[in-house]
Amino acid sequence: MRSVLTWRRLPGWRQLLSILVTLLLVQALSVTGLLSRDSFPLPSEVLVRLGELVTGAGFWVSVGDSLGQAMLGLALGTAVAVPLGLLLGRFAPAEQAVRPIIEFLRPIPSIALLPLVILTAGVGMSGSVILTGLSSLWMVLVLAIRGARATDPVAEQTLVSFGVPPLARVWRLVLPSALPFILTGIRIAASVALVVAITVELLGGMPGLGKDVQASLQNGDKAGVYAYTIAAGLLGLLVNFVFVPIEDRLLSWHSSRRAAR
Amino acid sequence: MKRLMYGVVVPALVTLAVAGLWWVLSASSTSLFFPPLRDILSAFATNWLSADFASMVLPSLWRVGLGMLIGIVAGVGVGAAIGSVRRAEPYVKPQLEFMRALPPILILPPMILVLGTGDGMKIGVIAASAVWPILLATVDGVRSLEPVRDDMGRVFGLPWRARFRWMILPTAVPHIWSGVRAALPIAFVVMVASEYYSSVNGIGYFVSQTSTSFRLADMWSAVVLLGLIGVVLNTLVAVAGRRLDKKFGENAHD
Amino acid sequence: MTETAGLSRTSPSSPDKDDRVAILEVDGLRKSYGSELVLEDITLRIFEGELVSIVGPSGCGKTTMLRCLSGLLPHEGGTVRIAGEEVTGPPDTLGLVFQDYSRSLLPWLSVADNVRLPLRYKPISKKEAEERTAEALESVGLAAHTRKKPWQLSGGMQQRVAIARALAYHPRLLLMDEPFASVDAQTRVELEDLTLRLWAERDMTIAFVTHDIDEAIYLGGRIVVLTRTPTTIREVMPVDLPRPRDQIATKALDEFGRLRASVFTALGHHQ
Repeated sequence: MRSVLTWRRLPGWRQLLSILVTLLLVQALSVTGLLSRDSFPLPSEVLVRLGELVTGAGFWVSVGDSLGQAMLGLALGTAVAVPLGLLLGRFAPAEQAVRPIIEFLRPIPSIALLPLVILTAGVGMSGSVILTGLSSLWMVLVLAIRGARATDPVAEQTLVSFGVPPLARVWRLVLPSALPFILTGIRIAASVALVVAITVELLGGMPGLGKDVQASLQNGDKAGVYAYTIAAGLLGLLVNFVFVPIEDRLLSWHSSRRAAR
Repeated sequence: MKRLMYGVVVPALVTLAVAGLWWVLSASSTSLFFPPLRDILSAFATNWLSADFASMVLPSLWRVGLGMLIGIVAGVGVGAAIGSVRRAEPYVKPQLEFMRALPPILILPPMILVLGTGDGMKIGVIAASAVWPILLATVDGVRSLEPVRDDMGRVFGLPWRARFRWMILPTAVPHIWSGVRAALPIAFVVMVASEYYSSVNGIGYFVSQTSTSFRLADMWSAVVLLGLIGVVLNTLVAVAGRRLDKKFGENAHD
Repeated sequence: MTETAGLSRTSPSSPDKDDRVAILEVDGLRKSYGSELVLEDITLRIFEGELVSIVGPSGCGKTTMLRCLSGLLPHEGGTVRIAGEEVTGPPDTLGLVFQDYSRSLLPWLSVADNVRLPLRYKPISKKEAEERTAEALESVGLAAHTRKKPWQLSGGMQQRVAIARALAYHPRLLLMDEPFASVDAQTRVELEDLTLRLWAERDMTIAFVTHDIDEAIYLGGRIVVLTRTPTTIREVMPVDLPRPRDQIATKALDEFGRLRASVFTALGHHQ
């Protein structure tokens, strides 16, 4: 069944055909001048440009930078969010007490802190990681709190009645119950972290694909703008694509997955 | 009584305590980047409790509002069309998934090439970022009609428009709403980012201006404002969501 | 709680096919999913004014058969006619009561609006739609609940709404697909008697699909027994039980026990 699932995610012939048709359509529109050549380079040019990029080393350094900033931030944010979320989720009054503060901080776009970060941490990796970390933190925190609440009280009372000590209860029961929520949070946070990384690269000049897009735009390299953009979109798909099977595997014991099979 | 205590009093006290702590710890701050809360609040009062609110904040809200509206109309329209044609999905799915995975900020450079750097570009970027979650949620929503309900509509001879109006649309509304909820923070971020990139007004512009001229208290006041706007918007969205659930939710009532 | 049902009508037990009007005519119906044959050569007549029970072992093609009869699913071989018209899609001479009442009703519409909805798209006046709705709800005993939402009612009452919706539609043939399979025993008894009463009062033609042998015998004038897949008709049994029927008296008759044994055997069980 797992292999079937994996196959399903791969594009079939219809998808490939459809992508091809879309490209040909845009090509036709550009060649006939219906799409302004000033704004839209020919898809063929963009693809050639993309081909040049992937055979050069600089492109892969950029990919590594973008991914690295996103994943490092994700790791840091998760490391803070999971224990904090479990703690808050276990103690409802504490969660209620700090909820207004969380609700206030959560919607602040991390981009708003970009200038401050540039001024204090500079335009290197570390500045970017602060922001990707912050964004991941909120995303995972909210789901970790919900996950900690998903503990079955009957199971909990059973463990208590058998005299299982509190820490062991957290390890054996609370964490596994919260895991589906936490992993969902991490999967979403991974996408968000990549988006934030590329955004701060474009706006702030941190190294990565976002910076390359901005540089191409300033050099008037339109094919480059689109080539880097497509590369970043594919990278986003890849991050999704990688995290979903990880989630599936780690949660194979969980009833929601068993039922799906 | 106990609920009031834990639900309102304690959270309020804790919030005040944290704000107080911030106030005290930052009171003697000489750091350029982390000014005293006192300065931030007085900057907040001068910047946002004045006529400047209209010239700096309203343009931002207008862009988010119009961008979201365009995103919703386009997303629901196209999503409903794709969702209704069962065979269409595999042909458009890769393109849609790609657009959703694309970091929204990257819509900005092409938009600049097409629309320049004015308001149209910003609204266009916001709309083009917000549309994907709404569109995909609408496709799902239109698809999620119970098969029994579809059978019922056919047996009792409901014409297509009646099935859409009375069965498909109400089924899709909660899904569409969750798409809107996902799109709103994206639109918000893209608004700030696009104004940060190039603008003559708006919150993002204000943040970029004040920080490059080292008016950090002013910058922090904008961050506080963004948090407050976020709280207000999220509350509105939650209230609207509960209303929609009450009207269209399946088993929210049991 | 048993009410005297099926007041003054007797169901003809020896059909004289020539002078009665066939409402449902099925000839050689076939259906398969891929290479798997589900329905095989089903031939069946249901005449005007009849209440026919259709029983089959669980997991047989009952649902598929019903969907083919109602035109929801295209069939492959044979013909299906309802009120003389060949079925190619759901005909407007047909009403259907689904097993899954909570899903077949729309939770965002009131009870009355649920009943009225199909009538809005029939060529009848608003006033008539209004009258039919009120009358149908009255006759299933829900006149006091018209403004409630379906989910505010119990399961049995929700199924009454679904029955009222079918009644207001004025169908020539009413198909009921295991309508009482998901309500409790007490409610089930009430709904069975309601069905008998409506059938008798309104001169209706009903095909009642069930997997409950007692229910099939208690309601039906004839019982159609289906086989396992590939499903076909094993036997058609006349039910010579007097009407009006009574939950206690009818079920106490020797004939009831004899029928139960025959249906049981026909379904392929061994005693």
